[in-house]
Amino acid sequence: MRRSKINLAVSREDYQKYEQYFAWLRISLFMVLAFFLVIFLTFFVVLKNKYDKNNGLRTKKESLLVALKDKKGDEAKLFYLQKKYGDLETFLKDDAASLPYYTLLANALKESSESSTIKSFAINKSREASFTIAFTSFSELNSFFKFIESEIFLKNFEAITLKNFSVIGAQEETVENYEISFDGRFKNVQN
Amino acid sequence: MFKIKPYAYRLIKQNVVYVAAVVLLLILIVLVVKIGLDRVKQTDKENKVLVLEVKELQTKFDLLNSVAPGSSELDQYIKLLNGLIPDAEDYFSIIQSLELLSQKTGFVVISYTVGVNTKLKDRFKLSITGIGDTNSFLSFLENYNYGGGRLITSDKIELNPQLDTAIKINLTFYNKKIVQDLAQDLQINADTISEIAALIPKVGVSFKEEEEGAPDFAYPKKSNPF
Repeated sequence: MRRSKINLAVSREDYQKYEQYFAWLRISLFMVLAFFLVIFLTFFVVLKNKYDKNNGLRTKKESLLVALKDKKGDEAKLFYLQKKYGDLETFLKDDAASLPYYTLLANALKESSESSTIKSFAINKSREASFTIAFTSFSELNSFFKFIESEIFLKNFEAITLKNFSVIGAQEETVENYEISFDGRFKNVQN
Repeated sequence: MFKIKPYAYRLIKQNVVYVAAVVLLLILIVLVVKIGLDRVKQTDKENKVLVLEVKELQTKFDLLNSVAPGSSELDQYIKLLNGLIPDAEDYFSIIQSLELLSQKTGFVVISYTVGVNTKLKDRFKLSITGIGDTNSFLSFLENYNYGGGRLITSDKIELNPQLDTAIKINLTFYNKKIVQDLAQDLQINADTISEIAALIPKVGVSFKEEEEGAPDFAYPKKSNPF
């Protein structure tokens, strides 16, 4: 049998409760709508800024590409120079570059004594050197021994060792000749 | 069985538009957030790529428009470096460079010796014997890298300044063909260009004279010989 009447006295509390729920639902609709608008506008603004920024970069890229189009020839030449000069620098690493080190040693010796001479000098590309220095008097030799322990001399080397010491020609020439040989590795003076 | 009370049913019926609107808005919020975040990520990724590309192009543009010299000077530098390191070995230029060095320094090269296995990849080793006093030998040591118009190195040098006898030196000449690769970065800068320019006085070759003496190919030509 179909019910056509509602007993409001019995269900009054329930009805008010449901009515309240739906009132909240209507309020929440506006809140959700406001929230949606905030999110939508935020993304819209953020994305618009990002798109504008990217479009600006694209425009700049296009204009640079157009400007560089006329310079393709020079660009190719610069690439060529870059590679060729790179090779040159690589090949130069195989060079002993003896003169700067010889000059360095000669200048350092001038500071120690006038009579000392470089009798032989050999150097390889790793800056490993061996050299012999000759003296004609013992006093010069003595002052040189003090000199080789000084910072002025040692600052030029990463490592240095005394290899040999000899007295030559004392009897034949009535003058004593002293020779000291060193092995060492110069500090890099290139660049 | 669960049964909707009539008044609740009426309330739902009255508010169905609101319910649908809330559900629709919630779905839209989820979609907007998802699509928005994806787009932000995508544009950030594009931005990073574009910033890098523009930076590279700007560097290249600045280099070509302010740092790099004119096209004719670049040709001159290429000519200079091609002379120092030719694309393929040129034995005539080796002999010519040694003679030029002898003239410049006074250290006279009296013989050349080419040993077995001296022609390696990119390089050619040669042993020379020369005579000269200490000053000429030191001058040779100062100039041999570029002074002959070819790049020359020596991996070991032995000096005996007090002996005026013939001195033997092992020299290496270089050649290398450049393969152009425009995809790589253009890293050349003003310092490198200055270093290349500084080689001109060391090599001592006058390009202007060569240009003046160079034949003029700008005469009118026929494209069809018949």
